[in-house]
Amino acid sequence: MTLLKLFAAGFGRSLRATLTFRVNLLFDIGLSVIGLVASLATVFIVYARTDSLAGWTEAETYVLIGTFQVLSSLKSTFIDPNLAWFPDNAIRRGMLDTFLLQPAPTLFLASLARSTPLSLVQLVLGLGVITLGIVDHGQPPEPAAVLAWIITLAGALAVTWAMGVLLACLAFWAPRLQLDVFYASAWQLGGYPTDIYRRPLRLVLTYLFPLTLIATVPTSTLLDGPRVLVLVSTVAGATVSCLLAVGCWRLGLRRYTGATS
Amino acid sequence: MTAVVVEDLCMTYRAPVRESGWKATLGSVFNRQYRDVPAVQHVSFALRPGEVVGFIGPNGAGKTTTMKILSGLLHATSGQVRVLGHSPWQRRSDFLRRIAFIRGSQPVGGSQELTVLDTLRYQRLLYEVPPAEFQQNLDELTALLELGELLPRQLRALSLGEKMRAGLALSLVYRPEVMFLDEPTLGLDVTGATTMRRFVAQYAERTGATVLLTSHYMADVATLCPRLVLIDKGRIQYDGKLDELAAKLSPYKLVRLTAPGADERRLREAGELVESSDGTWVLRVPRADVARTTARLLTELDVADLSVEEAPLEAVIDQAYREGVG
Amino acid sequence: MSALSLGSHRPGRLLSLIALRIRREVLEWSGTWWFLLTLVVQAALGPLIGMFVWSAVYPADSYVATYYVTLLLVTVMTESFEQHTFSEKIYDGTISHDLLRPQPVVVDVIGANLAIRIWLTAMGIPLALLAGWAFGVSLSWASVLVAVPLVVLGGVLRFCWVFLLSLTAFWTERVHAIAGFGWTLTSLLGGTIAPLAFLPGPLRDVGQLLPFYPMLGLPADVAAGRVHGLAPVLTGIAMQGVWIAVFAVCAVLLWRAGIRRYTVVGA
Repeated sequence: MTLLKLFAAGFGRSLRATLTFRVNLLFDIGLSVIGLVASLATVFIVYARTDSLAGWTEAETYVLIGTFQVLSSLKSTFIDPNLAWFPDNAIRRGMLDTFLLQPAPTLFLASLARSTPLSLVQLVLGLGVITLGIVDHGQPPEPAAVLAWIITLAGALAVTWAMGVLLACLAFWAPRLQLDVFYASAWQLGGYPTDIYRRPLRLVLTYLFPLTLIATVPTSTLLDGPRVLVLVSTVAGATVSCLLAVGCWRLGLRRYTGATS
Repeated sequence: MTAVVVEDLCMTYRAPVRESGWKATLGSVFNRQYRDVPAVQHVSFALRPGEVVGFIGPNGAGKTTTMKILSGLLHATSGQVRVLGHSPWQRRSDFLRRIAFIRGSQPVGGSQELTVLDTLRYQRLLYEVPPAEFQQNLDELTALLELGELLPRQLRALSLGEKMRAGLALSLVYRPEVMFLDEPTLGLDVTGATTMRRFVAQYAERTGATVLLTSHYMADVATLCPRLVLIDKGRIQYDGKLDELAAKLSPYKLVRLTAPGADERRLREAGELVESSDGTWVLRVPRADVARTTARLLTELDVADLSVEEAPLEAVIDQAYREGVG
Repeated sequence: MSALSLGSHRPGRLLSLIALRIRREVLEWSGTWWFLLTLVVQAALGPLIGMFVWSAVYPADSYVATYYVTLLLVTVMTESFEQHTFSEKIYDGTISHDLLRPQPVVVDVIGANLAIRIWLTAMGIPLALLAGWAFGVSLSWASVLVAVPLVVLGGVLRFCWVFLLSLTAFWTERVHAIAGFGWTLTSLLGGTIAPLAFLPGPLRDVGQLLPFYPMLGLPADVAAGRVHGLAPVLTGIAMQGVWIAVFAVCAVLLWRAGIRRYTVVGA
């Protein structure tokens, strides 16, 4: 309960801080629109040449792109402002020391206490694109499919958070390793259907870093309706990755505070 | 009844050893060599509630390491530590709510876009301070630190001195009972440093907080701390009253006299000449000889003015760092 | 403020200043080789995704893989990060220090740019070879040789473009967003998202005239052998030259205005 209050307070104060810069607000809205137009242009260019990309129709791809935008927006609103450049900000500049001495769970403070509400603009745009894709698709999803879609989105978000925490944990063992650029690049892979990647890479992106599943699973759930197996494995995968992240974080903190040596 | 107990505390870091050059770099990836660096060795001391103690020593002596252990940031290699009855490294919420660790070398945390008041309110939520108490503490701090005009401003727009005041308010709005201050006046101008000192003294007196303070500025220590703990190379060299340290370390006093037309040769016989300018001289005289020497000077010379002084604290501490406490 | 006007300096001295800077930066970056590796991945990702997408559309067309492998290499070799190496100096005020040194400020910027490119190229070549091997790509030596001057000019052009965008740091705090916008344009019209030949008619015609295709897609197309023959290659080089001149003039003007603002307003 306290954590929820802290989370709300953090979001509220970030929102207030954001609104004081109105020029930046307009600027960022403009940029989100441009980014979205560029991704839509990609789809448009591809489907000007073909009717099906690895089995995906144009309308389905719009839904995929929209879903990816929604997830990217939630990631950059709630996860990135906390875990970005973790080795530099948290360890070298001592933010982690501050969190360690505050009377709330350190993992919460380090990974969820801050947010950048401005990035939610992208969420609205993403929802718009999904609607567009579904209208184009011609077949409105059942309520059950929408519910399942929300569950898979939540699972995808949990996996994203866990991957962020795991990457941050690396800093406890190798403080000079800075993988933010790598993660941000790899994230881009998620915006395309899994089936376009060839075999060895596809296996890596499915099981090791499930980046391509993050958007494709919710999208196909929304379009084709819920499947029990998919839902169960999503929830299981999200739980396992979160537990793994929490465990690694604890081990990392023990090392950081010298409790192991 | 003690606020802080430290018994036989040791902290050893494991630092990777690596020689320069490509070959050694590659080699160290596979076969890493470590060296044990003792940062703190067999340190013991205790602080009574309400005590304000100076914790001094040269750079790398182990001051910050000790403070990190006391606040819970580091887990000691061996030894016993109790702060307010807790083991700090467990970092339990009810312990963290009662302490503050303030480092002058580190910026105020939190989003720099937010105002001081916003950040203070977040702090209230985080430390679960009841609203009435929060308001009372805030009013007090506002008066003591002249925060009034800082509250609506963004953290990023504050000057260094203002940031220090805001940072203090953030750490003290929940009324910690034990404060660890690590170089709190670092980089501050004379006014800032004086404000800081006056405030720490007032806060300690008003709330009965226990304070452990490190500083390289002897003025901080001299004005705030009746008791001094001196640490060097990870070991405690002295623990006791400030003036006793001076007497112990400096077996000399300074005799300053003004005697126009005195013969400098005669003065050199009386003691070591430290300073001379325009008819005023400063002599370094062994403590035991002070009475005899002054009497002799007064009878033999035409003295206009004469005073006996302690050696400056800076010089005493410098001697302690270089030569140790005998 | 003649810090950017190179005219008052002897070319030989400038070259040796740049060479010294490159040497220093190459050494400085050697400590963070893993970070450079993540930059290579970042640069290579666009071409790789393009390759996957278009290979799925045209599984039988060998041009797709050949084009994207050469594009990958061109992208890595012409990477520019002036929004980090230069703009950050404006934000934290360290540019004041550079202004006081008896050399044009741009010397250090160019030195850092080339040093990073040297590192990225060294790491990007194995990656391109791996991708080329995986997709069974074969290149002709003649085309690759012809592409060399176009890659060099493309690199100059890309530097001028990114540096131009980075100069906006004198006026706005959002230079990273602006550079991101520039990157979006480059990948959309420069041939990363799709080879220029695959764009729909009107977009392709616009793309031919804009400076983005000469930065990336053109050198890659020449190396892949799709653009060949004296006339098209010379036209391409002329396009690169014209755009370099345009951006360079704009950069000098923007620099003068920016530095005036910086020294008047302060930072």
